[in-house]
Amino acid sequence: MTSPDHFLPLFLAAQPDVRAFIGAMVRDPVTREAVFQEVAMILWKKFSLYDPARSFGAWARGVAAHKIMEDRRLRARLPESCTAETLEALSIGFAKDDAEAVWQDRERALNYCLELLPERTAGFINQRYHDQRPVEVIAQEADMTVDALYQTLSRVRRQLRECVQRRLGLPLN
Amino acid sequence: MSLNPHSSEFAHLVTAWLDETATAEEAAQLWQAVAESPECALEFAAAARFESLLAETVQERAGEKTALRQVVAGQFKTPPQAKDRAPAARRWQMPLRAAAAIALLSSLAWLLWPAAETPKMAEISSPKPGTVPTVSHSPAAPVRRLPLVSPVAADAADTGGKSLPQRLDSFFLAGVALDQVPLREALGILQGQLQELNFLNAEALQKLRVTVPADAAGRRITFHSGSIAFLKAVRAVAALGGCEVTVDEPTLALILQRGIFPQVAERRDLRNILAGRVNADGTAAASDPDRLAALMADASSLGIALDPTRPLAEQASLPMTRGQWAALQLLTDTREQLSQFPMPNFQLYLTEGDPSEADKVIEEDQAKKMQANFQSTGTAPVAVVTPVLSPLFALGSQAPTLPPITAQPLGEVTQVTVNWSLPPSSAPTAAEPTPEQPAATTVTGVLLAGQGMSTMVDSATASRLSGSSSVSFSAFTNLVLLPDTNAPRP
Repeated sequence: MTSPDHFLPLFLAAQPDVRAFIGAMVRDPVTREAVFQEVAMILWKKFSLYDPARSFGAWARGVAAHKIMEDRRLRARLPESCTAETLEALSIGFAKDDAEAVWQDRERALNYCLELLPERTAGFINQRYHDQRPVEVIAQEADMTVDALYQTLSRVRRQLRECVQRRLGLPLN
Repeated sequence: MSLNPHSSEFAHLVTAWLDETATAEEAAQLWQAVAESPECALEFAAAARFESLLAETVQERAGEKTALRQVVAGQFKTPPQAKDRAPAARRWQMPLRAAAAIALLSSLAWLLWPAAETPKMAEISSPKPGTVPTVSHSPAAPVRRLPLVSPVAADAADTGGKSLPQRLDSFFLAGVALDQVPLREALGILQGQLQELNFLNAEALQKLRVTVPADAAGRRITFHSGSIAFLKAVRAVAALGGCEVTVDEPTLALILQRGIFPQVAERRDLRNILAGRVNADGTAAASDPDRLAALMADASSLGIALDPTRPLAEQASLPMTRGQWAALQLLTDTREQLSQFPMPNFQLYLTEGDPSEADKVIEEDQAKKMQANFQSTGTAPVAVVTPVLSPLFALGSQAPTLPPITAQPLGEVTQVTVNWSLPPSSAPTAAEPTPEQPAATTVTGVLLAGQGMSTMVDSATASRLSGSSSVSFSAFTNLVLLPDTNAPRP
């Protein structure tokens, strides 16, 4: 049986991954945060049932998946092809990705790569991810079409991801 | 049929889902692929994790910089939250706040650490592997990229006397790689590349609009090219989508007007593309084997079915659509445009090695001063070099042995690259390069008119560039390129 003292270190280590997993299904940031808080509560309440022989991250993702599937409003936002088995497959994908490089290493590498961005592009990224401004608003202020800005953001994300992969010595797709 | 997780189609589904722009059909396709394919699940997981990592990292960076400003201003009292959160249960506030404080303190230490002097990442689109190489920055890759110095903020009036169509037709993209991309998205990609390469921040380019007929927006486009002018790329993509482009200068708009679609294939003689065209040396393009080979390569890239092993004369009549024909004409026009691209001449100097002076763009004023100084001290350039148009950016080219200095049009400016490699005898034996011995094999910089560049080369390369084996160079010599205002352009 696991001691409650063990919960916090395990949870803090898995927290980014759980957020990302929830974020894969729930795109609205406010709803995502609310779901995360509820999942965190469930994990704490049911920690006595956690099997230490199993990955905490996998267990936490399973709890998150169950939470989303049983919530009618959240479930309604996902296509029918998104079943419990699909989320299990996604969770396995998360585990494999995490096995390549831990979150903290990726974070360090990404910080380095973000430093390399030209000012204008860094501004787009900040507006999108920190200020959370709609793309339509950013595009209008930058005198760009929405499509062009989406493409720019998509390209920058891909370049940043490749930069992180290289920085960590991981293979590129 | 399951999707290839590394295909552009799957990437589009993932991006659309994460950007919340996916249609119901696209969302269903994505999750179906995730359910059916472990590889797709892994790729989606990696993308989703990265998206979350990016958001959290950007938020933390912004929060830390605010906190740092507060520390500097002496206003720091209590550790701020690393990120804003929705109201949490009270029992979480203390441990989460402690975690945030720990994260904040460690990140502050990172911010105060001496920043590595690395050049900025240039943003050049990543074309399809195997056709045009990706140019990107990484300490592990043999490319050093010099920062763009003093970008000129040009207003809409500063066009050098060119109309908008002329300007767009001399604005070069590094390459285009589109595989079954919807027309609207394809044009968005091209416009994104335009914005990325708008070094001069030209207002006309920033405000450019591209309009697409709604019923043509979803037509799938496959188009590949090396360096190509933006307007030609748009016209080619539009043609393949059964549309024509008109340029409306007053409103800064490119307007696509739909034609007949789907297009019927008709038999045409490819050699007619070269009919009447003349090479720079006056020879007829239609009888030039290199031009014919390039034409066949371009035709193949557009999906025109021909046998590359047989001469074109034996394949006189080939089926192709009107769009393919138009795109092929534009690719041929592009090759001619690039062959006539005015290359800047550079005076090449070799000076005593100074690591602190390596890898710099030399601004116009400084370049003039250096030239005056060289003249006053009687220092002659070891060579006057006209860069070769970089063959790496030609469609279908293999990676050849590069000449020492190559150039490529990029946007409205020129990218100059010094290519050199450490000879085997001087290759570093250590696993990591020493600080004194540069590991990079190319140094590339985007140069505005009048600018030069400097980089450090080894003695063997200095000897090769100067054409002299009798002069002894120091272990590391500065190679300085300054614009040559004296020699006539070829």
